[in-house]
Parts: sequence; structure tokens; C-alpha cells
Amino acid sequence: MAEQPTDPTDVWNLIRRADDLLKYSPNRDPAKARLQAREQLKRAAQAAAMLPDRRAGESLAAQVRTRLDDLDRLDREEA
Amino acid sequence: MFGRRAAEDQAGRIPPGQHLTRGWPVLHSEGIPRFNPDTWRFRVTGAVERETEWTWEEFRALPPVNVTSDFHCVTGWSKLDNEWEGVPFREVAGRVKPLPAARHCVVSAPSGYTANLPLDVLLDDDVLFAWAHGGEPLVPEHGGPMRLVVPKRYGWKSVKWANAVRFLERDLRGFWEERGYHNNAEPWAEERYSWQEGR
Repeated sequence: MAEQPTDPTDVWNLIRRADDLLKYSPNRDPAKARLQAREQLKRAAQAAAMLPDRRAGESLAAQVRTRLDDLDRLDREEA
Repeated sequence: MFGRRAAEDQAGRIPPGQHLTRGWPVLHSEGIPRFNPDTWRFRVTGAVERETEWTWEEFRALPPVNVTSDFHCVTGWSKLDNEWEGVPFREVAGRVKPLPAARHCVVSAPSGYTANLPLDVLLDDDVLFAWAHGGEPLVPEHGGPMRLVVPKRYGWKSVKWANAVRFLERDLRGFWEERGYHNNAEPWAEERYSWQEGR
């Protein structure tokens, strides 16, 4: 079980890794990459909710929501 | 001797936090749009004297240039000595005539993907709408039939499949800029993320 990040930069890095999964998805199985990105974003959302800095946590949570909406849109377009 | 000098020259062209790639990774988060030369249009709107629309044939008839430049992706790789062919942004700007109040642009792709840039950055000599790379037509995976190329900014500003420009009096953040990436995106200053802005 990976340790929960407590620093906003660590949470951002989880989000950034989800972005990279998506950006590099044309080289792999795009649907699988989107699933992995979702998993990464779920971890980021949980970590953001636990951050002591609530302002940073809310801002990062909003970034996660935007990306989940993007993934929903991409899934719909693919369907 | 020559090899070492070439390696030193290359190293001096790699911004901080980047590494050299020999290949050309394919990166994009949206689907590749279909290209039909009969229906393709390039539209320029907003704070200009002449809002203009070009067909593919008309755009390809604009005076082309060849530019060799380096390319830096925010995910960490840099590709040097890219040979591009296309139309300079300033050629397009010269035809639509930006209003004196125009300071920014948003460049977009058919998917709705956007990137924003200051007009003075876009008017640089090395900024172009490119349809060829290395002497070959630009392949769809890399933004073909045509993409914006802005060498002095991270790669997400070089909009693939670019087909519209909107001139603006005020700045308006683009797709990744809205998602926590730096508004200015200058690789030598390592401007990757929005939380670095204003530092």
C-alpha cells in the first residue's frame, strides 16, 4: 500500500502522472491508459482531501474533477 | 574531437530538467481529426481588421519558409534540429492585420484543444504553421496536415492540427494552462506549472 502524500506538490505529481499516461496513450492501448489515469486521479483525489492545507486541497481536487470530466468525454467520443 | 564538440553544443541546447531524445514520441490526449483538403478551413477571428478564412489550397499558396529549431516537451524530452516547412505566423498576421489593442492569441484545433500565447511571442521569426518536417509531409500523429510550431515554448503550445486563431485584447488560458500548467511555458526558465507563476 503506497503512503498517502501530505504535501500539495506530491498530490500534483500524482495528477501530472495521470496527464502523462493520457498524453502517451497513443503509443499504447488508449482505453487502458485512460483506466490507469482514472486510478491515478482517484489516488490524487483521496490525497487532496487529506491535505492539511485546505485551500491547496480544494484547488487540487478541482483539477482532478476537470480531468475526470475530460476522461468521461474521451470515453464517450470513443464509444 | 568533433564528436565531443558536437556533444557539448547539444548539451548547451538542452534546457534544465530535459533530456535528449533521438526519436520523436507521439503525445496527444485527444483523437486525431480526419483531414479532408476539400472541406478543411483555417479561420482567423477576433481583434483583427480582416477576419479571414482560407481553404487548404489557399493556405498552401501562402509564401512558405524553412525553419530549423529545437523542440522541448514538458514531459522531459527535447528533440533538436527539427526542419520545418510552413507559413510564418507573422505572414498570417500581416494579412489579417491585428488591431492595435490585440495582445494575445488563442490557437485551436478541431477537437476544441487550445493554447494561448502573447502576440509578440507568435511574431518571432521561428514561429510557423508547419506542414512538413524533415522534408516530408507532417504525419497526422505529429499534427498533420498542419501544426503550430513555437520553439521557444514547451511543446503543448505548438498546437497540433491547428485550424483557427483568435486574436484577443486580454489573455485567455488554453487547455493545459487551465489544468495547472504554466501560462508562459518558457523551457529555459523551466516554467512548467501554474503554481510557479508570479514567483
